[in-house]
Amino acid sequence: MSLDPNTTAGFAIIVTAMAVSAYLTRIAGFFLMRFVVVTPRVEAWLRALPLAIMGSILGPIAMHGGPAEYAAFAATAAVYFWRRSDILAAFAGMGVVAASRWVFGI
Amino acid sequence: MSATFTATGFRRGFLEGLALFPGMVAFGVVFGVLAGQVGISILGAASMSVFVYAGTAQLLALHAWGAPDLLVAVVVAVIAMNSRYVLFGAAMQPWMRGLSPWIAYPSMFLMVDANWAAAMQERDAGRRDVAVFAGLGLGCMVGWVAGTIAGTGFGQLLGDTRRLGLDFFLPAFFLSLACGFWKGRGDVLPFVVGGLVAIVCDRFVGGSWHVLAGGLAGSLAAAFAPRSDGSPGPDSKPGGE
Repeated sequence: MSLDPNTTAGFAIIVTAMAVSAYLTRIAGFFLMRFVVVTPRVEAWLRALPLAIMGSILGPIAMHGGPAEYAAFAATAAVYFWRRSDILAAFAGMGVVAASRWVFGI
Repeated sequence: MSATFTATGFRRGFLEGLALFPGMVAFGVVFGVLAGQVGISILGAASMSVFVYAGTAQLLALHAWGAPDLLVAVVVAVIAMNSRYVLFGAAMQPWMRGLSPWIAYPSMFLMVDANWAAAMQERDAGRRDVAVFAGLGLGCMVGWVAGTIAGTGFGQLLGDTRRLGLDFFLPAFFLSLACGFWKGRGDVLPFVVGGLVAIVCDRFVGGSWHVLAGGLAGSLAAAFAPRSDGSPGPDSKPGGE
């Protein structure tokens, strides 16, 4: 199905679809928890999900990355554990990747 | 005692949300700049930030912009990125018990990482004023939308954003979140299995499916792996940190 996001109607459809799916993810767990029996296995699955998702986002990015990205990943983790602020750490990583790209001329 | 929703609590949460203004604006600017680059207008970007209100999902959706199956791609991006909110919501349910659904369901619209974490702290402190959570969510939205508008409006002045490392903001933000979730050696398995499955899936399938595939594979591997450290303790309820 092709949809042109540059038309007002196309864009509105896309934003509506995104808004509805985003809201559904916010209420799904809230709603379903009334019916789910949380066995130790379900509990272990729920607890492991966030890190599995982070790993699956970062894996392919790390594969495509070069020295600039690796240096920036190291800086991000260092700043996070130093200041415990995710936004600050993200900006530190962004700064290091920009600086390394400039130094290496990539 | 059941959960409450007071005006005082809403005000306190809202002010706490405004205190996060600098970080929210910065994140909003990053989204706004990248949205402007794919040709989204200021009004379009701002409405997306209000109605979707999910920074990471919106950034991932921009990566799919221009794909032939755009509608499917953005929905997958939103579900993949926001799937953590399913878990957040599950942890919220017992805390919000006793509240009218007419207040509970609109409040859940405002759930983001920051106010979820705050709600869990309120819970641990024995407080059950859900208005603090909703107010904080609305307070964060102010900076997020302001940043989106500024980024979309002035983004063109920045030139080549790759030179500024803007494309790296999202990966770096996720690495920070991963560091925050990291509790110990047991976390290696879901993280590594998720990463490896995603790399393979990204190589052979494409799209945003690798996030879903890796997320499921990694978490299920952890759920079915034999535990080396004994059974889960009483302190390991979902969302109980």
